[in-house]
Amino acid sequence: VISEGRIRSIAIVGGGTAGWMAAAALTRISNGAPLEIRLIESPEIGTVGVGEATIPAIQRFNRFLGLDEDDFVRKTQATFKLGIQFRDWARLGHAYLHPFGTFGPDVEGVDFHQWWLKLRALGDQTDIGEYSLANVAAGLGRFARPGPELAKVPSTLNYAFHFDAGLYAAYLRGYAQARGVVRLERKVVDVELRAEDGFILALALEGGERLEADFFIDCSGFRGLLIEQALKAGYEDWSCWLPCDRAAAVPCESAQDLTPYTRSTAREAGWQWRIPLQHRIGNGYVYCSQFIGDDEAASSLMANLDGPALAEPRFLRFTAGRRKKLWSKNCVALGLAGGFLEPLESTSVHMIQTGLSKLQTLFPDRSFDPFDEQEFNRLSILEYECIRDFIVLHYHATAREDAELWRYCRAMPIPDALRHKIELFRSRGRVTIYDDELFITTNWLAVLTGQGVWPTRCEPTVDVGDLAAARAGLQRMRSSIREAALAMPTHLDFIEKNCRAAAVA
Amino acid sequence: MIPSIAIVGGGVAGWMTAAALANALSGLGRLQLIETAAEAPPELAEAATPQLRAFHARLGIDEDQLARQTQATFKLGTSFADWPRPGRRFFHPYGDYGTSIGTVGFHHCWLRLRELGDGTELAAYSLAAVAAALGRFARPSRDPSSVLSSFAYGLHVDGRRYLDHMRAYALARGVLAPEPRFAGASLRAEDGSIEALVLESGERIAADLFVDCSEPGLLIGQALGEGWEDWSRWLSCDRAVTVPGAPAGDLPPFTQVRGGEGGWFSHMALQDRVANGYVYCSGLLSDDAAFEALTGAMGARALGAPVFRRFSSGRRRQVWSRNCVALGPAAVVLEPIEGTNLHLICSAIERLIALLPGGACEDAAAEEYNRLSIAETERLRDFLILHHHAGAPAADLPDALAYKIEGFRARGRIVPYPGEIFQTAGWLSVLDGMEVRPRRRHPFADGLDLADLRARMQAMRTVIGQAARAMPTHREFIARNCCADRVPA
Repeated sequence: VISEGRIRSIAIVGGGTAGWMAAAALTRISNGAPLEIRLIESPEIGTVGVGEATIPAIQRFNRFLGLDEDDFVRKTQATFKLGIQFRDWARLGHAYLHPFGTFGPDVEGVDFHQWWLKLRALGDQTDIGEYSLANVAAGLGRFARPGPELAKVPSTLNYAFHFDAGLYAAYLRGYAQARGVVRLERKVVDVELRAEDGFILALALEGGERLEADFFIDCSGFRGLLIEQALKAGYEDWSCWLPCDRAAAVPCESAQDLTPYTRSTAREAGWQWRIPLQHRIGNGYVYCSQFIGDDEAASSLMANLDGPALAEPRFLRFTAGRRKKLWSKNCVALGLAGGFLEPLESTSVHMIQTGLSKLQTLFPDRSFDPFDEQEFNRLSILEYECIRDFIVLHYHATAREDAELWRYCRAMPIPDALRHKIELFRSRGRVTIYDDELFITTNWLAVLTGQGVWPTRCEPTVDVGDLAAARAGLQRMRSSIREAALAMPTHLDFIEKNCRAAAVA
Repeated sequence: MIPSIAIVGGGVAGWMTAAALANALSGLGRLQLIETAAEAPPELAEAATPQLRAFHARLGIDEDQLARQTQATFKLGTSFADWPRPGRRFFHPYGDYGTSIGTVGFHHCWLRLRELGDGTELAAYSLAAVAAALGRFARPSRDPSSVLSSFAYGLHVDGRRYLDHMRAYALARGVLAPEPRFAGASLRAEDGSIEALVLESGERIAADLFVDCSEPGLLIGQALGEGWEDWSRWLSCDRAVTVPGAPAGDLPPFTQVRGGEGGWFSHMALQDRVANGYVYCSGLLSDDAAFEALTGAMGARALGAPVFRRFSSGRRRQVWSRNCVALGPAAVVLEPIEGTNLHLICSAIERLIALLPGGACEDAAAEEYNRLSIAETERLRDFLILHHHAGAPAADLPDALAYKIEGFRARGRIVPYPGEIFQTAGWLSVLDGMEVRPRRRHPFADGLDLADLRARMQAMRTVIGQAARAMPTHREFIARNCCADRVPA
């Protein structure tokens, strides 16, 4: 009686990272309830996987699936990531790291960073990175997983991965298929809607097959085969804040040193990513077509590789923004089908993960109560906007005036919530975090100061504190962090010892 | 730069602010508190939410010592009797309910069993509620694997003694309290900010920041003209009468609330007496009738004369305006049915300290303070409205509350909002207590094997029951740890 309206079948359209993450996660989310999961992917998928960078929350996803982390690293040619280096973003010749993990702990009951700002105002030039284990280890090319003891320095680091997106999808495909997910290698040629309410009834596949399901997940990429082309969800365009609309991507041969961080280098009309994998390096130039042509962008990219290119550059087009509805009727969009935010802070995989987590919380039944859709969209939009603002900060808070893109971004009006955050930080180094934000104080702190936003004054509670004790405390903090970093193996040694991938033929 | 601060109002809000600022600024900077001619007498008893414990800890106040000096007792939650209608009751515990099973949240599992005819109340899955019903108390454990970490507690304190404690703390840390009382404020012509306070003696007190802790908002409202947003259409109670009663035989470790004809009764047992109150709506009940009803509800002889108060639920539109911050009743007034008066004061103080100016006030800090204050007070307002109007049409409720109720009705979802004092468990207890019934629950709660589910739910109840029975009685706990120094006759 109780199970009458339960979702019996799900069709996932698209077999990239989003599709296979969804398929794998759904086998767990269903908590043992019978659920038929089919994934439809078109046969002509590209063979070269793009390097994908992630944030530490992916560890939760891996644990949720019960994956063995070393095995996952081996199978996806993955490397470890302690943060993102931003070169030439604040100004030409400048670099900073946005590290994972925390900066030093509070001193004398006052936030660490307030003391650091106070000492800086007094002339101490120590970089904030010296108070982050991830930052110091990244600079030394070292890596180890965080230590278990919460009171000790080795526990203050956090990490994520760089992996080959194609291999990751294949890895999750193996996982999902072993747990009953059915893969159909077909092209979707049409989407059949129910006349009375516009719900998706079935997919028409190439060769005349018809595939029905109770619920559909659109992982078809930016075009949004179901959510946009069939259901007309609509798109909110954010290119006024994020004007980049193209990317050229190319892998190249790996360099000797395996950096445990992603690198983002600001270029004339956008930025270039560098994602080190075990077998090669993923590279790409995200640019604004208004300020640079495709050929020029591609040659800039090819001229800035660590080693010989392994393919011709591939081009992508997009518009920053999100669907007006990420859940519409009996369809949820994940990944690029839901929206596009450039991967400057490596959030693409994460947003697939949080989409799945929301779907777990709000999993519908066949009555499709409008509340489920409304709540999913409310939460998704909040999340998209918070991440958007964090990315916009990188473009807006720059001293660069050497190119048109940067002059535009410096002068553009920014969203109110971001303006408030910057003003609050400027006034006394205070960081405010909105509802359930992905990026928290340490992240904002790293990027605000990295981009050159400095407070004009200090917290009054710092003025009454014991400065000498704080100075000594910070000094001790730096040396224990350095000591802990030097005790780690090199990134390469760590991989050799624990999770070296098979050589590529 | 350390700001000079002048506080107006010598009630509990004023002295808590003085104490906390003196502590945060290590006694540096110039802190003054000016009393007004119209100080209301302190409440008979105040309830403190669990969050007050962190406030006391930051001030270095030992809780047992505080309890001894304020005749305090412990609070595991609030019982609501004859609520939402005569004969019905529920308990709002300070703590969690059960544990989730697999990917399914606890209350969805509970909803499934209820649908199958299992009448076990939510309260059976809350250690705070079970211990409260048994009259037992112990402090929670910090070990997250222990069931003893699944609850929190607050306090009931004697209002006057608590205020005295805060005043002594502040004065000992250098807060100045000039004798002459507040007479008025002079404003700067150029920007309308406060230039100085004028005392009855004619003395003027200048400061970087003025904190308005007066009950009527002498600075924020009368001097600066910041308006008041009225919430009485949702929260119509506007009178309260309190009477101290002789101590009863039992010492409940919770606040007792009971529905009455024109409002609600409350009883908070302190160590030496019981604080009895009746909060009512003047449109439904006269003061005499209210006093009579309260006398009838007390069940013990009165130890003093009744004290009547008037109030009106609402909030100041701008709580931080120019160089003035309103804190306490000048900022927000909400009926104390969930014992949140001290909580609102302490969370406002913490917000103020986090955004304290050094010298001149900054717009960004004021904007942030106002944003956070509005979120907190409106979400608490919604929680209180739920106690009275759970069944009202959505159009008659604030949007955020209507959406929250609809989320629970639709699928047992408890929509979280920023700034909430009470979170999932608190909302769950009141939504369920108010008989808001979900149409559906999480579909995967049905994927669990029924026999297994029943066994696991039974196991949770057993563990909780055992833990509660192993606690000392509330009275024993107090006798052992924090019995008041001297019990007056």
